[in-house]
Amino acid sequence: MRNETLKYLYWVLAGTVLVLFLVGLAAFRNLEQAQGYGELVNHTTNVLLQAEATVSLIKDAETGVRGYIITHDSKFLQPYSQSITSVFTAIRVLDSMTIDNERQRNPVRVLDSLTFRRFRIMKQTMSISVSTYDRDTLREKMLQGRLVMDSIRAVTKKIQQEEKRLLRERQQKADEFSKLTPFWLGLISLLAVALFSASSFMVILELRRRWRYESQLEQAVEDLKKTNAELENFVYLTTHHFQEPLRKLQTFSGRLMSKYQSTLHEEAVFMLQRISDSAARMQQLMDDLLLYLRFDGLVKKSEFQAVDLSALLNSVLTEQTGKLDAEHRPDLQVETDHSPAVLGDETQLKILFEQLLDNSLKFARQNVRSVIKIRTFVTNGTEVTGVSMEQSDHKFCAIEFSDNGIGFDMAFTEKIFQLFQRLHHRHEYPGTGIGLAISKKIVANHRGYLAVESRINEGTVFFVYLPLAAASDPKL
Amino acid sequence: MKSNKAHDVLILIAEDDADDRYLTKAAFEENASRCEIDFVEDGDEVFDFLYSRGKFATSKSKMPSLIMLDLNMPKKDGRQVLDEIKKAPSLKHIPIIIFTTSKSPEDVRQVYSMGASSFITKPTSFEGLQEVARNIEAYWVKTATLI
Repeated sequence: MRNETLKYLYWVLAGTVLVLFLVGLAAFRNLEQAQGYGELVNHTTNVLLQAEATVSLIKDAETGVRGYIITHDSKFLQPYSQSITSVFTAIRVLDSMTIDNERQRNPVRVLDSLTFRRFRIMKQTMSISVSTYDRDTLREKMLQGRLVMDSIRAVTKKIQQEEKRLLRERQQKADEFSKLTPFWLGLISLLAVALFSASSFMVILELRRRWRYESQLEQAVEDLKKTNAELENFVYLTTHHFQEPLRKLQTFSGRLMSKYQSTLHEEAVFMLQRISDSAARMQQLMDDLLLYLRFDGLVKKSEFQAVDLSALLNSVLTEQTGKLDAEHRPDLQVETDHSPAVLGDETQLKILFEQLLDNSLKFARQNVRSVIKIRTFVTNGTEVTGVSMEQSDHKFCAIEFSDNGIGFDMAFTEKIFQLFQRLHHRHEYPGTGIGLAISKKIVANHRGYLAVESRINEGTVFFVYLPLAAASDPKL
Repeated sequence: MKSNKAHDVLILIAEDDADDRYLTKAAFEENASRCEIDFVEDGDEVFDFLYSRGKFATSKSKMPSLIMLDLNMPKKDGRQVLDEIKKAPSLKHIPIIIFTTSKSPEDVRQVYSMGASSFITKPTSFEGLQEVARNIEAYWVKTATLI
C-alpha cells in the first residue's frame, strides 16, 4: 500500500515537472513572438523609408533638370548627377529588403525600369533644350516624363501598401497567438498548481503516516522493553521466593536423614534420598537461572573497556586446564596473536570463554585425546552469520573455538543455545544446560553474534563475533 | 553482662519463618553451646526487644552482643532495621550479621556499606547450617571480643 502511494507520488512529481516545463516553453515562445513582431515593425518602417527615399532622389533629379532646362546652368545638374549614381543602389537595397516577399518582386522591378526610363527621358529632355529647344518636342518629352513619374509614384505606393498589408497580416497572426497564449499559460499554470498541491498533499499524507508508524513503533519498543523488564523481574522474584521453601525441603530432609537414618526403613531412606536429590537439582536450576538473569543489562555499554582478548583467552586456558590431571588435559593449539582489542566487559567475556572451553572439554570423545584449537582474526560484517543490516558494514573480531569432540546434529543448533535445553541425558553429561545460553547472552550483550558448526563424532566449532570499536572511538 | 554461666554470648536472631527458627535453634543448640539465642519475628520486634517494650516489656531480656538479621521480613525489613540500629547511639556498636537467602553482590555491597559486620547466605542443607553455627561460635565467641 505504501509502495503504491510512492509510485503515485513519482508520477505526480513527474507530471508537475512536465507541466512546469511546458509553462516555461510557452512563456519563452510568447516572448520570442513579441520580439519577432517588434523586428517586423522595424523592418516595415525601414522599407517604407527606403521607398520614400528612392522617390525623393528622383524628385531631386527632376527639380535639378528643370532648373537646367530653364537656365542652362550646369550647377542645377548637381542633384541630377548625384541622384543618377545613388538611385539605383537605393532600388537594389529596397529589392534586397523585400526579397522575402514574392509579391514585391514585380513592383520593385517595375520601379527599377520606370526609374531608368525617367532618367532617360530627363536626359533626352535636356538634349532637346540644349540643341533645338523646340517647344512642342520639349513639351511632349516633359509630359512623357511626368507620366512616368506618376507611374513611379503609383508603384512606390503599391510597394508601401503591400508592406503595410503584410505588417497588418503578421500583426493579426501575432495577436491571435498572444490572445491564445494567456489562456494556455493560465490553464497550464492552474494544472501545475493543482498537481503540485496534490503531490504536496500526498507527501504530507505519507509523511504523517510514517510519523504515525514511527511513534507506534517507538511505543511498541517501549512496551516491549517494559514487558521484558517486568518479565525478568518476575522471574527474578519467583526464583528468589522459591528459594525459601526449596531450602527448607533440603534442610529438613537433611536433618531427617542425619537424625533418624538409623531408625528409618531402608526404602524410606532411599525415598528421602530421592527427595533430597531432586531438591538439590532444583536448587541448581534456580541458581543457574539467577546466574543467567544476572547477565541481563548487567553492564552498561558506557562502562565497556578495551579488553585484550589474547591475554584473556590465555589466562582462561591456563586457569581451566591447570585444574585437569595430565590425561584429561587437552592438546591446545592457540593462535591469538594480533587479536585486536574489543570494547567489552572483561568479567563477562571471561565467563564466555570459560563456558566455551568447558563445553569443549565436557563433550570430548571417550578415548580420544581432546584437541582444542582457538584462533582469532578480523572479519567483515558481511561474513558474520545472521548479522543485522545495520552492523553489516562493521568490522568484527572473530574467535574460533574448535574441538574434536562428539559434535551434534546441526538440526538442534537452536536448541543448544536455549536455557535448560540439553541434547544428552543428565547421567551421560552433567549440567543444567545453561552454559551456552549464558554464552549467547554475553555475546548479545556485546552486540556480537555466536554461531556454531558441528559434525557428529568429528567435532564442533563455535564462532564468536565481537564488533570492533570504531576507529573514531576515543577509547581505543 | 555474662550472668548466664552456660552461655557466653546472647545472639538476637530476627527471623520471620518458624521453620527457619526451628532449624537455626537446633543447629545452634547442637553445635554452638556457648551461644544463647533468642528470636524475634520481624523488624519491629527487634526494637521492642532492644528497648524492652511491647511484648518484651515485662521480660528481663538483656542486650544482645550480636544480632542476626534476615533481609526479607514483613513490616520493617532487614535493611531498615540495620539502618536504624546503625543510627541509634545506644545500639550502633552491636555487630550485625546479615543472614539471608540472597547471594546477590548488590545486596552484599549494600549491607556492608550500611555497616553490617558480616553477610552469610543461608545454607541449603542442615549440615551447612550446623557449619554456620559452629563458625559463628568459633569466630564471634572464641576469637573476637564482644561487649
